[in-house]
Amino acid sequence: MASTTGTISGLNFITRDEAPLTHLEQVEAACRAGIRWIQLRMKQADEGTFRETALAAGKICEACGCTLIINDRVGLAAEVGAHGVHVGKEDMPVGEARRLLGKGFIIGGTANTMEDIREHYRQGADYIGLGPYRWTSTKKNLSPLLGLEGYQRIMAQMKEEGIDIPVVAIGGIEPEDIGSLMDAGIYGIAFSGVLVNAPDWAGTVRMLEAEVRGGGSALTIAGRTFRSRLFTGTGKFGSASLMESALVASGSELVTVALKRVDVRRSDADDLLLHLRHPHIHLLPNTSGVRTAKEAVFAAELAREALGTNWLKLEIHPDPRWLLPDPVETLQAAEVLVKKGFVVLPYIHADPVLCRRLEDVGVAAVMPLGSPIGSNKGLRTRDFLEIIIAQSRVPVVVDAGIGAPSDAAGALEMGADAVLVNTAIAASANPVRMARAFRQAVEAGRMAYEAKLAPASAEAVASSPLTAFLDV
Amino acid sequence: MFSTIFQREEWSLVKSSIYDKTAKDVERALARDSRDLEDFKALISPAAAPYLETMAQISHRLTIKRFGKVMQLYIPLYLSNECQNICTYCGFSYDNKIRRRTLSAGELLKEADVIKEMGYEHVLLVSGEANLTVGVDYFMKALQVVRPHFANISMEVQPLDQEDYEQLIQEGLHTVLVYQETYHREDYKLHHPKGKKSNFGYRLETPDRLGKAGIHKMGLGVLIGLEDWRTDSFFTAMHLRYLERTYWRTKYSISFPRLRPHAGGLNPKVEMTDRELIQLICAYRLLDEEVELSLSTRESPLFRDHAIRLGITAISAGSRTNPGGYAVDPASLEQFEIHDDRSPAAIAAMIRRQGYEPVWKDWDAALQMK
Repeated sequence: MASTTGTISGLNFITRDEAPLTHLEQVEAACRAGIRWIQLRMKQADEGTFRETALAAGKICEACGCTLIINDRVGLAAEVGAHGVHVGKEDMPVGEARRLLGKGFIIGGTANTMEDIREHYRQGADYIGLGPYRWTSTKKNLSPLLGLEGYQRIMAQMKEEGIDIPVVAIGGIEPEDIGSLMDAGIYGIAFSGVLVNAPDWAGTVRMLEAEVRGGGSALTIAGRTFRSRLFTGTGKFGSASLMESALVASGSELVTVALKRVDVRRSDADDLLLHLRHPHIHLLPNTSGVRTAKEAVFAAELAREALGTNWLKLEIHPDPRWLLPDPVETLQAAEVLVKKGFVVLPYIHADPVLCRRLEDVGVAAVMPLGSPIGSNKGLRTRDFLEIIIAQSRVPVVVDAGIGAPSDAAGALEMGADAVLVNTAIAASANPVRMARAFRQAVEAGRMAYEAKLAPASAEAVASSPLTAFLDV
Repeated sequence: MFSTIFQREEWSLVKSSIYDKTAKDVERALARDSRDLEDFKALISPAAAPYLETMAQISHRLTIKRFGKVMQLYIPLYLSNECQNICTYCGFSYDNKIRRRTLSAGELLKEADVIKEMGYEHVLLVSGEANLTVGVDYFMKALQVVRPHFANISMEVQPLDQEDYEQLIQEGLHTVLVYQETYHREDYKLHHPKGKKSNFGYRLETPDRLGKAGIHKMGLGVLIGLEDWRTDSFFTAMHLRYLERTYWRTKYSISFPRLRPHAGGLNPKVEMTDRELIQLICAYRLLDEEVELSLSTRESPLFRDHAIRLGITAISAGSRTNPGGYAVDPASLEQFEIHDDRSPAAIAAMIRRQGYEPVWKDWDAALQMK
C-alpha cells in the first residue's frame, strides 16, 4: 500500500471523535467527496478498536487512491500499512519515528512555533502541521493562537532560514481564510469540522479545493453561480459508472444530456440520469437530433417537463456528418425559447455577428465551437473566438473541438468564461484521470487570465535601437 | 439521381482497377487523413490483406473518436413473409412453397411486447414484398401500432415511391434500409427473375427517393456472395458518397449481409472469409468516420464479439427472422438462419465486458413531431 503514496495534498482531512459519523464513515465520505489525504485521528479509542478501524480505513483509501496518515500511534501506523504518521507535540519525536519506520514513510509533526519547525525539520519531517489558526474544539490542550499574522511571520522566517518544507495550516480555519493563508506561502490546509458538519461533502470539497488552488473567480450564468468553469457532456463513455466517476473528478457543475438518450417517460428511473444525481451537478438538456427550429422548440418543452429544468443547450445541426450548427434555425428557435422562459445556451459556429443577434434575442450565454465537434482539433476558430469574447455581453462557453487540456487552458487564457468538453474526456484511455487533467487546466487557464498574461513579443529587443541616434 | 453517374461506370473496369491496386496504393491510403474512393479501392483490394492489423487499429481509433465506447442495440420485427418476388437466395421467395403469414395489429402488439421486455427501444420492421396485402396502408397501420412503444423505428421493406416515404415519415418512420443486393445489372436480373423487384433501376434510385422525402437515416448494402464483393462494395461506397453530398441532412449506415443457408438453398457464388469481412468493415470506417456500421445475427458469436471493437456501431441480438417469431408463431418460416442466438442480455453483457456501453435508446419520438 505504501507504494501508492503521492505528493502531499493541499487539502487534508482529519477525522474527529465528536461527529455525526463514525471515523470509518468519515473516511469513506471524504474519499467519495474527492479528498486524497486523510489523517485518522482517534483520540479516545483503545488500541484494538483503533487497529481495526485503521485497517478498514486503509482498504477504503487504497480503493480510491487516497493517502492515509495515522495520528500519533507510530507503532500501529506501520502495522496497518498506512502511508505515514503524524506526531503531535507531546507524542514521539519525529526523529525517533523515522528510525522506527524508515525512509519510505511520510512523517509529519505538529508545530506551534518557529522553534518547533526547526526541530521537526532537523529530525527529518516530511511536512509540518502548523497551528492553531483560531480556537477549535478538536484541540483540547490549547497552544497559543497564531492568526494570520502568526503564519505570515513564521513563513517569512522559514524562508529567511532556508527551511524548505511543506507547511499545512491547521486549527479552526474557515473557507474564507484560505486565500490569505495561501498567499502567505502555506502549502495546504487541514480541515475537520468544516467538512464533518457540511451537508454536502463533495460540494464543500470542491469549494475548498478551488480556494486552496486559487482556481479563479466563479462564473454566473442566468443567476446561477458555477465554481467550475468546466462544463461536460455525457456521451461516448464506456459505461454509466465510468461517466459518473469522470464527471465527479472533473468537478463539473453543468452537465449536458441528450434528450434522445434518456427515457423521458420514466426519467426518475433512467440509468444515465441516476448516475448524474449529485447535488452539485446541474443538468443541461440538449436538443441533439433535431433539424429545425420547430423540432427544437418541441424537444425543449419535452426536456423541460421531463428533466425539471428550463436550462437548455440549443443544438440544431441538420448535417449529421460534421454536426455543424444551422445558424438560421438556431436564431429562430432561440428567440421563441427565450420568450417561453428558457435559459438558452445555443451551440453555434464562431460567428461574432450571430453571437450579437443571439444576445439581442436574450440568450443566457453563447457556445461557439473551437473546431468541428468531436474532432479534438483544438481552437481552430481562435481569431473569431477572440472577437466574440471581446464584444460579448453574455458569457462565452467554447463548446466543441477541445481535444486536450492545453486547448481548454488556452480558451480560458483568452478570456472564454468556460469550456464544454466531452469527447476528449470520454474517448481518452483513462477518462477519470483526463477529467482531472481538464479540471486543472481550466483552473490554470482562468487563473492565468485573471493574473493577466505578460505581453508576448515576437522579436527580442534590439541591442542597437534604430532610433538611438535621435538621443545623441 | 445516382443512376446518372452509375451509368458511366463499367463493372469490369472498376473490378480490374480494384484488383490492380498495389501495396504502395494501400500505404498511401493508410497514410492519409481523409480518404477518397480510390483509397477505398486500395483498402478493399487483395493488396491490402497484409495491412489488416493497421487498418483495424485505425478503424478502432476513428470509431471511438466519433461514436465513443458505445454500441447501439436494435432488433428486427418481421411483419410478413408474403412475397411476390422470386429471389434465388431468399427464404421468402414466391416460388418457395411455405405457409405465409402477415401479422395483424393484435399480433404485432404481442410481438412488440416481447421485444420491449428484452429492453429494446430501437426496432426494425421487416417484410417481404406483397404490395396488395403488405403495402403502404399496412405499413401506416403498423407504424401507428408500434410507435407509442419504441423510441426509434426503422423499416426494411420493398422500395416505395417518394410520397409513400413522406407519409410513413410523418407516421414516425426514422430509418429505411434498402440494399441493392448487387450493383451488377446482369447478375441482378439473374437473381431476381420475377416480380417488382426485378426492376434494377427502380431499386437503384430508391435512396434518392428517400433522400428527397427527408428520411432521417438510410441504410445501404449489398448481399455479399452474389457477386464479387469488392466491386459491389465499391459501388456501395460510391453510392454512399453521392448520397452524403446530395442529401446532407440524412445519416447513413452500412450493413454486411453475407449469404447463409436458407430454405431456398443458394450457395454463394463468391465466398467472403471472416478476414475479408473485417477488411471491408475497416475500409468503410477509414473512408468515412461518420457512417454507422451494423452487424446482424447472421454472423457467428466469435466474429461479432471481436468485430464490435473494429468499427461496428450497431448490433442486433435475440433476433427472429420470421413473422410472429417472438410470440405469435415461433415455428413459421425464417428468412435466414441465425448464427448467433445469444439473448439480448447476454450480448449486452458481452459488450460491457469489452468496456463498451450498450445503448438501447438514442432517439425520441419527440424529435420528429408532425
